[in-house]
Amino acid sequence: MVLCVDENNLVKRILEGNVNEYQLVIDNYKNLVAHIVFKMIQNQADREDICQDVFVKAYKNLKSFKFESKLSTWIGRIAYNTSLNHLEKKKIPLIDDMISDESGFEYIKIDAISPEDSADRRNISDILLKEIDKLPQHYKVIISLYHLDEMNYKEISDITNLPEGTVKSHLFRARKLLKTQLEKQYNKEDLWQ
Amino acid sequence: MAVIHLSDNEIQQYLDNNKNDESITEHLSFCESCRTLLNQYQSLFETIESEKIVLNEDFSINTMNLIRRMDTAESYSYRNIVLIGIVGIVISLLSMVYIIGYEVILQPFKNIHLNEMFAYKETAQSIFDRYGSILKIAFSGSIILLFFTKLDNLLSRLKASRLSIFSL
Repeated sequence: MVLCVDENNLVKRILEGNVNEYQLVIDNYKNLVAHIVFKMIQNQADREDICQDVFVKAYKNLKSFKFESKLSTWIGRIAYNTSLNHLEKKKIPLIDDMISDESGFEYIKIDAISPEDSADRRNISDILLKEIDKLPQHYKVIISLYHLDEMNYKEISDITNLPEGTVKSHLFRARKLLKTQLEKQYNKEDLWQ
Repeated sequence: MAVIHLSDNEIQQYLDNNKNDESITEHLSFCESCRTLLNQYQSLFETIESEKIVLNEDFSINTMNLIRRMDTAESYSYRNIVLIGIVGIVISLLSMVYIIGYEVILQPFKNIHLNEMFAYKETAQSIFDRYGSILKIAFSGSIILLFFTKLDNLLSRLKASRLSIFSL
């Protein structure tokens, strides 16, 4: 995700008082923010408010942007921390290290699938999205940032404040879990045809 | 000869690196089992990447409107701080005149000359004695000013948040 205009100049112009130019920032990074917030927050009603809150916070703290990191990772970090604070405020526990191995994944509720409801008649994308939704928040965010926002381990590490090695192992583990989980429920031939 | 198959991590890494690993490419050319695993992961990755998370189409406009309103509320707040500051000082001065009388306030200026002030240590104490009540009133005035400033800040924030609720 790259801004067409020079990021630093854009930030400087906004700080000089050209508030309207902030819309460019919102337009460019709203998907990134949505990817983080939507993966962290389950409550649909809160999601858009939190996304808005992220951009208001970023605007208010734009003076503290040091031009050392990319604007995307800076805004991403605000989105991640705002979501964490929201979960903390609502006393919603982060499903973090509850998964110690593949067997631990079974704590997630698996919907009963009838024979008629097999994968060949359902959209694999819908099935997978449901499975992704059952993953712990950290895993979901890392998968989204890596695959949807095309971020590298370093950038994801900057946003989530997790070591790069942890980001990588979470990503590999999450994808393997998804694959295993799908195969547990559905016929392999139907699934990967 | 037993064939050592690729692990899940190796396959994932291979896909992440856009298949830039000759040794793995070579292995895949003859290993059907690993090729199947590769296709499964490839399919998984493509499906993950097909996900679309879309915000309300008015999101940017609504957020910009909220930011503009907050900006206006803040500038309104700073203007009020200055106004309240002036009013606070005037109230403090008027209270001072009312409580101790303008004769007392003007007294030090009539009796003390600058030379005397710096010449004797006692003079400093004498100035403090004479201005003690003035300092107390100035301090009270500052506290009142601070209270009004905080109150105004709070009202401005409340105003901005109410506006944002109405706009959603």
